[in-house]
Amino acid sequence: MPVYFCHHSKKIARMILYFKPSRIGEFTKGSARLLLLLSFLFSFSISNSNAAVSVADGQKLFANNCRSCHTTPDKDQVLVGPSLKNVDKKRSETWLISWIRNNYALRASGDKDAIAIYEEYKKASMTQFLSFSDDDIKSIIAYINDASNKVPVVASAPAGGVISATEESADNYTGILWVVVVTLAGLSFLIFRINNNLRRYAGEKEGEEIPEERPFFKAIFTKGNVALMLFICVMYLGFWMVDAAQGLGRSRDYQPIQPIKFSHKIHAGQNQINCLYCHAGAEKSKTASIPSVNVCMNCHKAIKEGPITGTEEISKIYAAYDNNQPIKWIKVHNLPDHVYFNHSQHVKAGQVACQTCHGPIETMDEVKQFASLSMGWCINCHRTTGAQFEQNKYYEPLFSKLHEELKTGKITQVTEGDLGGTECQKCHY
Amino acid sequence: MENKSYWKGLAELEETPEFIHERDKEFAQELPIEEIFNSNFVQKPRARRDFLKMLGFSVTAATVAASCKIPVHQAIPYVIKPEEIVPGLANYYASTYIDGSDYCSILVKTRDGRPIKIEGNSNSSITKGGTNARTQASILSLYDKARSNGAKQGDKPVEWAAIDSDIKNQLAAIKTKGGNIRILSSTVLSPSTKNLIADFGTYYGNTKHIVFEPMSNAGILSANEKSFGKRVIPGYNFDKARVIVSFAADFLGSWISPIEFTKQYVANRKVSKEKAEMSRHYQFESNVSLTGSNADKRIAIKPSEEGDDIIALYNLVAGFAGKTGISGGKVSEKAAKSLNKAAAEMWANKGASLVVSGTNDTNSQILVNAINDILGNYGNTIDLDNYSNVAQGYDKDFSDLLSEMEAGSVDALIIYNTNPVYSFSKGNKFGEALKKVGLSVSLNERNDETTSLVKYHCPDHHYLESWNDAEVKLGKYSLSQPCINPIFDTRQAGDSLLKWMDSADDYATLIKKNWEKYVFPTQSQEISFQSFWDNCVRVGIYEKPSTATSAIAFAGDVNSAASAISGKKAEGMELVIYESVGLGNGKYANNPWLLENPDPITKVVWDTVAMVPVPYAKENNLVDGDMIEVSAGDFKLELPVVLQPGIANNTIAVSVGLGREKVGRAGNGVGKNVYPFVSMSGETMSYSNSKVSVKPTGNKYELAITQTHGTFEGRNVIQETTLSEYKKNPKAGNESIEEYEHLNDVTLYPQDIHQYNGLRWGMNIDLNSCIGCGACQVACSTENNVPVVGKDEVRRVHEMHWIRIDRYYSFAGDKERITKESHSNAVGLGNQYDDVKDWEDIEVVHQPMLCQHCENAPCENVCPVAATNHSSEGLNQMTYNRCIGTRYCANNCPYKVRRFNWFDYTTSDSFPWNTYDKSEGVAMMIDDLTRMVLNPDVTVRSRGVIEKCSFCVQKLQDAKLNAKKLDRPLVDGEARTACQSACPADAIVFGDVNNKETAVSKTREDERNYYVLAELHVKPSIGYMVKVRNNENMA
Repeated sequence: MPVYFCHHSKKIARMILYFKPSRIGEFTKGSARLLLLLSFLFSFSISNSNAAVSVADGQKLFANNCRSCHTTPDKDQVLVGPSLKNVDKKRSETWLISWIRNNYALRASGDKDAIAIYEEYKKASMTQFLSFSDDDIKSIIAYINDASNKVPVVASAPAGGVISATEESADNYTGILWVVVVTLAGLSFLIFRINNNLRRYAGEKEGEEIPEERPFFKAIFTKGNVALMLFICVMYLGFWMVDAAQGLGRSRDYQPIQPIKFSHKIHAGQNQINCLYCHAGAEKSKTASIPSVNVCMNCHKAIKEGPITGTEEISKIYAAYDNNQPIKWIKVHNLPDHVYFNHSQHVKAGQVACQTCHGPIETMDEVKQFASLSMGWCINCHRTTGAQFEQNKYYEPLFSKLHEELKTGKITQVTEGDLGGTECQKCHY
Repeated sequence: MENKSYWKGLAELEETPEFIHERDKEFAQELPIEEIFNSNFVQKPRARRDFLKMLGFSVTAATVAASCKIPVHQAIPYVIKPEEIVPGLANYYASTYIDGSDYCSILVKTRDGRPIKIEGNSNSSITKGGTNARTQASILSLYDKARSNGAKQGDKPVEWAAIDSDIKNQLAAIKTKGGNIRILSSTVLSPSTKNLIADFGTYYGNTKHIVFEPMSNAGILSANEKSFGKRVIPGYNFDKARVIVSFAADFLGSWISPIEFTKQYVANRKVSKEKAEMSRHYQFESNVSLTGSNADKRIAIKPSEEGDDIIALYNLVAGFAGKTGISGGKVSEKAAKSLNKAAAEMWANKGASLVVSGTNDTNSQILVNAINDILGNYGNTIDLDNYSNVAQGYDKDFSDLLSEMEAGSVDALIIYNTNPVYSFSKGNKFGEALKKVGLSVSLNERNDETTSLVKYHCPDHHYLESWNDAEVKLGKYSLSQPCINPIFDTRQAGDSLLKWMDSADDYATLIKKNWEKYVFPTQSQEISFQSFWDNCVRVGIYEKPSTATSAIAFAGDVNSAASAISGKKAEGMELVIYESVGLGNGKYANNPWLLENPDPITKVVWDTVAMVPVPYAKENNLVDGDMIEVSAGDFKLELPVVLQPGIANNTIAVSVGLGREKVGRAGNGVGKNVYPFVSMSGETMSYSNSKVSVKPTGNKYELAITQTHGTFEGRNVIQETTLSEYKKNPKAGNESIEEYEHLNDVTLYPQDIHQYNGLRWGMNIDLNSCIGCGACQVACSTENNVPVVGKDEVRRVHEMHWIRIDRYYSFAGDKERITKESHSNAVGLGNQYDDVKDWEDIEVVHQPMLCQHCENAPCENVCPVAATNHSSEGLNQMTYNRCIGTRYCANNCPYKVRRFNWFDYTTSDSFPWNTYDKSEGVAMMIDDLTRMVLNPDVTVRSRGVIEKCSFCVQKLQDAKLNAKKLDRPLVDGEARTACQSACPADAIVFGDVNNKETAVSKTREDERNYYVLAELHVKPSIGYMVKVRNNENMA
């Protein structure tokens, strides 16, 4: 695979130059695994979606609706609301259904438990979920039941752990490989020398006339060799210049220091808050949008202390809120002005996972730019990734030829590129 | 009709050497190499050392510049995000553009809290979603730095509280002594403001409200008072009129309510096989107006002949009705012929005809009323019951005010949204008289000519920052809501008045209360006022059903009216003053979008010109840009001329709207103020003058005039026919299409035939509907960040508009003339040109020209870097960042629609004045505040790249994405281009041509559909509909 080769050689070059193994390849591999995992979960949820009550549905509903105020049910922590660990055992199902759907009504009906909870949590009333069906709520309860019995995951997210393990082993292999290569090279040099010397001695014995041995450096620095070395140098420098020039203005791994030490690892990783809870624009708009302070306050009204920085960082939110001073975040992902990028196009219409472009964001304490955001990177994905061609009714009356080919099995997927997604004016106008 | 020749300007018709030079050198911009080599610099003895120094400097500078770090961008979210705002998504607010008599119900597109585009509001039964150039451009005035910032006493900035107490004290003193208070304003459409002014009068006593309109229609008001006892502007229904006779009323461009009339007018101009009928339109006028250019028959008359023509028409119609005629009505032979035809046709269409006159003369209007009355048009095409509230200006009131002021009997004068020092013929007299007023206050938005002479200035908000209401026609209400917080330290005029009345309410509350009191009880759908109000704010309008028309009795005295206007015909030179279609009465003279929008007829930008008849120009050896001196009475003005085919002989026409001195940096000193030519005739102002003398001064001036830019070099791009031909054969005028259809059935490159599997965008423009007003041009500039380049750049053919409107002349009845192509090598049309005797009798076609998004695009093949290429949806894409600026594409485009950025017109962030054109208008667009108007979805192009119409690809992408997000197919009409939605005439249809059900596909099936330059086989995506004229037997 030429792509792989090219990529690999670049990596080796970097290693030689900087003595610093690049981590790009690993991340790519890692994210591929993560994707696999995600797609597995996704397919799992689909396969179960027909059942009226399912743990997977419950998990999804929980993540989208409950996670912002409650921890995952495997923990005992109190966020805005209480931990729901084993709540299915504490309360009856009917009670839970009526409480989750409309806790106002339940309280109004004079239910003592309901009023007690309300009082306990300083009269902060829970959101109503009038649109939930009984099955929805039962699914959530099933999920709570399921998750309550699991051992809580500590510190780093599981996906991250897997990645780091494979990372090391990959590095070890390369190291060993190099040691083997160097040893073998040394050995072959030795054998060559020995062989050479033996032949010389044998020749001397036979009485042959043997030319005087040239000094080693003279043997190496022949005209031909020097020319070859020069050629390699020029080629390499040329490659390096072109490569560097292409990289101008690109800022992969850009990791600015933010005004608040906000950790995605804690929020998205450990607490598993849905990305869209804070970045609500991602589904609706061009920009994913950084949450306004009032969104932070939804949870941080109650959570005043963080696990790492204590009150120091969280108090900055209060300062911003009280002084009506917006927080000046540093933008990590910058696109040139002549590029039009729309989050909702990818997240809503394309159903692309955030991690595809932003990397394992749930493992990052400080966000850094994961992808190169180069045009080649964009185009490559448009060429290879399947579009929501059969899922989205928008395409129904269009592209009859592609529909036909899919049906007959001539093609297996329709990529964005097949739909014109690699044309100039899809992103530049 | 294929032998008819069309030409954009005389230079093209005559093929003057200058024209041919310009035409052939269209794209060459010679480098000043000779200049450099002959300059001192190169001739200097140490040139080599200097060269090395410069080289060293530039290398160092480039190194330093290049080593700069990537800037740190911040992302600053709200503290508390308003619920309705999603960053990056546009919100649309229904509002109303109200400025004096100008009215349009609109939707304001706001992005992240700033208004960036105006769309028409189709809920309104008056404007029906149409807009005009001024409405479109009004958004730029919001960000105009020339608007006043803070209250001022004289030249001194003062606190609002201080100015309020000062004014209140003085008003109180005036009240105690019983002094006279006058409020002078432009037309007030707002019932709430009217109530407020009345309340103000009650509060202070002795208060009178005077309305001043620089381009007045007071003649109609008094004529209706004299004829029917109603001092109103009636509602006109052009859509019900099968025969329209207009005496110089530019109802499509500037008269009364142009957007409304355009909507009505074109409803009767669209023809199809099912409805092969259209209205007949006679236009008797002196200058060539926008309306005249669309008429089936234009009869050029001198302004002094108009009275007799109206009398003649009256006599003819009265003759049919068996009434006695009136004396007078001696008309020219040419006019008589058309008048006869018109009268007969109108009589045959009684109740479905309409006579209008643009004159401000009461007597002429009385006769027009009488004609309409005999024809039974009242209650049908004219509605006195559902009258219009626009044009309330009553000239007599204003001249009375002036005498009062001069006599020193006005103690307080509050000026609101009117600028008589500029727009009144004797503005300086008004300025002098202002000094005699004890308390003079201006509520105008900027420190204009009048405001600079008053004592107190309390600047008003821009309309996009204000609450307001309007009752433009009886019972047709409309609301304005603020779409942005005030940018400057200004205060709404209504709030100022309320403050001085010690009222606790603000103006917004007052409107709400008024609506609760007067409007809410008239409806029964909504039970609570709050829900009624919320709904009205949401849709922008509330319309009561029209009242039934009542019987009217004409009581005017036709005989005395006739005697006052008959026999006025003058022999010498005459002058007509008309209102500019784009700039209006001059309030928007600081708006670069309007300044650079070519006049629909003369195609002049950034200037005031005198239209002169060609015979006069030939006699005096004048060409475009030569100066003449026009003098009337004691006022003289030197103006550049434009040779105008179609204008009445011995008549010159000049438009108002420019020549401002204190309007802002773009408009100051641009053009000339011609208001001083307006004279008072009896009780009304007169916009023509038969006692002028004109003499060439011998001076020359270089006009910026786009009429022959982008010439088709004699290729025929217009197809037209007549209605009777069309009835016989729907393909009439479009016979050549069959020949072209099979032109290249065989191709050498079968693999290069584009496949359009998904959508395929296409457009259709109906030449019968397009009136050439230019609204699309401004809308396009707004939507696509098209830069303003300034007068100098337009002179060098560097204008940037993505859509232009080509205005073609042809000689009426010209069928036999040979095409130009046949002797395009000859210089001049020689005898053909000399043959032309009747320069008055011309026909006009307006053709919007934009990128045709050809399937076999000639531009695509020649681009060395593939910066312009074809999309799978049929778009001819332009990629700015690939473009290296060879301009091969522009050279190869047969439609001449590609524009090159010769300079960095819009950006120049680091060096704000680093533009070629140092004129203030261009600089205005590089101002940080003004740049807020830019569309964030469209790249701002930099120097050295080509740009052109993209079919508003950002809007298409947005519509597609929206459909995908909603998980449904795209609906026809969902994706609209900016030009299409701005068009008041619905001339543009746009959509997916792969889908046979869409509106645009259906137009493609129509026999009238043709492609411009189809013979080149470039396969354009834009079809045009053959122009059908209903002009047989009109003279």
